[in-house]
Amino acid sequence: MKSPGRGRITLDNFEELLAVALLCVIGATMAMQVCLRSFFGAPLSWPEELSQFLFVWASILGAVGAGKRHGLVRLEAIAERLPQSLRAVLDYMILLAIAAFLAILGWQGWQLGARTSFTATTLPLTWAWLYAAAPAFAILMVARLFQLQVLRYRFVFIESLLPGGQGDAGAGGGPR
Amino acid sequence: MIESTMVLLLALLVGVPVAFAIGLSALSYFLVSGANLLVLPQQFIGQLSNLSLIAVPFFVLAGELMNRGGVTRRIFDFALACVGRVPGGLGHTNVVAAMIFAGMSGSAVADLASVGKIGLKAMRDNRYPDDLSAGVIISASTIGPIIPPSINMVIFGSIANVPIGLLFLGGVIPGVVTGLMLMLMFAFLFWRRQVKVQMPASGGFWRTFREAFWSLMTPVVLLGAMFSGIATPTEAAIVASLYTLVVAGLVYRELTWTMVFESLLNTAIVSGAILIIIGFAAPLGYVIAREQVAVALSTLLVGTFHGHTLLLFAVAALLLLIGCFMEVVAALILLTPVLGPALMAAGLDPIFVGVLMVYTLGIGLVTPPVGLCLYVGSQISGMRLEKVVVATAPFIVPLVVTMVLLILFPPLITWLPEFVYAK
Repeated sequence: MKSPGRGRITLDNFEELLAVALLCVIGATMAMQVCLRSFFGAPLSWPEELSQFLFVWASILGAVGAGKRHGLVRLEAIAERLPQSLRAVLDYMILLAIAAFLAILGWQGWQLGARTSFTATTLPLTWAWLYAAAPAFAILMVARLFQLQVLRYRFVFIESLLPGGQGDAGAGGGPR
Repeated sequence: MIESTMVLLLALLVGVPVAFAIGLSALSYFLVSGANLLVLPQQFIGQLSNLSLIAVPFFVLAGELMNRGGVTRRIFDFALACVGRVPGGLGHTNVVAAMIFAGMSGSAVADLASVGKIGLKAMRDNRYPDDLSAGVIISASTIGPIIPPSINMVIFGSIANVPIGLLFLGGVIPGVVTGLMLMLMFAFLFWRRQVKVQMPASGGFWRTFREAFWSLMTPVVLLGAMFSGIATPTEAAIVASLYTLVVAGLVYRELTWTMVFESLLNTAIVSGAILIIIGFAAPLGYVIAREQVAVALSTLLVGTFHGHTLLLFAVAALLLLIGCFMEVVAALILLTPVLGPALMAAGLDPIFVGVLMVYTLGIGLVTPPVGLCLYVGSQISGMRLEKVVVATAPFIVPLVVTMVLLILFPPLITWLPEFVYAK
């Protein structure tokens, strides 16, 4: 079987890869802040605010990664008992409802960002960068769910390409 | 408000992902009431920018690194050396290992997927009956979100504005009592069935203690950093992850870069799925606050159930019922803005309310039909779900008994936070 190209792997996984990178930056800056505050008595002013900004983006990008892997939490007790044909119709209706909701969230988030001039206390950024996460989330999630459910696109998940990779993302240990 | 409740219930029942079901419910209220739709993204992003929530992915990451880096195996070996020689020792070993692991990870599924998996193999190797083994490993995993750190307590604390450090302290005694109760039940079942098993081989107390020493220090580092004022709970989660990385990578040398990447990837995905539920709970919380639902509920509860004990039993029964049908984190996120303020307005201690809600909903992890740990347990053991449900059923009794004890004796929760706070 032909192995997938680097471009396809990156495109198929870029949200979760970005989320991983952002989590690493958050971890590094917050750990540095603890060291500077506790051992040198000289904390910086910006790590908390930077982490706050990055965390919002890491959360929405990670959620898109979960969406691609059918990893969003849902109750399936009733839906999975329905006949296959009815279930398919229901899945499309659910997708439409989600798309409509995300369209409103995205548009309102865009409006909110455009109107915001509130500046972060310690960073040369406005809160528009935070609110921009709402339309970004809406666009990415709708696009990925559309790929998954309508186009029946088969994602090449990066974990399945790792040595000994089982593609076990989402099955490990969630906060439950 | 009625329309948004109907939308929420319908969406959940037909299988809309919980995050979007909550979002759709809030949206229906905004559309019907003519409220400003800008509140929707404002609340969503505002909630996600809560610094306390950063603890969630880093506690998940700590658990992931422990599983992959040999920490869990050492903890199990140490627990085996401590209690493995008593009759039914491997059952007790599982509970003790789950308690120690709970002091590091804060997630029931992480507990089950790591300690439970190792424990089940050991019990099978030593001819323990499968149902008894599955029952004890699955029920012991519920200690994960009770003994600090606890991701569920971080979620409750950030939604209800209750200090997370104090919530963590409030979970210590209930977690230990739960462990003891589960061990009692296992001992009883083991004795009643007259099970003949092999005595497991143990590596000796001091040897396993030396090997597990750096792992056992994780809760000390975590809680020490938090309560000595070096780190906030959020920062403590990051310290715990880094500590585990150093111990598993440099001391035990069992962690490869690939494993670290896998852990980070899994963390980003699992946390993202949970965090958007928390994010969308904010607009719904706004609706609940605007409609003064918590105040109305508090008045209703206090008017109907006279006295705190009766009130708490009624709430606990409701939470147990909801826990049967709803995923625990989703239920916690949905119910905290409604029940939390209502119970606090009725004069109950916020720490007590938080720990009791987390504890009671946590029992839902092992109750059918939507008991997540039952599914994970079935997957790990290869047993049919129905068998797993039956095997776990007797162990629900000690969990419920502990819940009753917590309601009757609130100092089991409140004493330690008050003691530490007074100091």
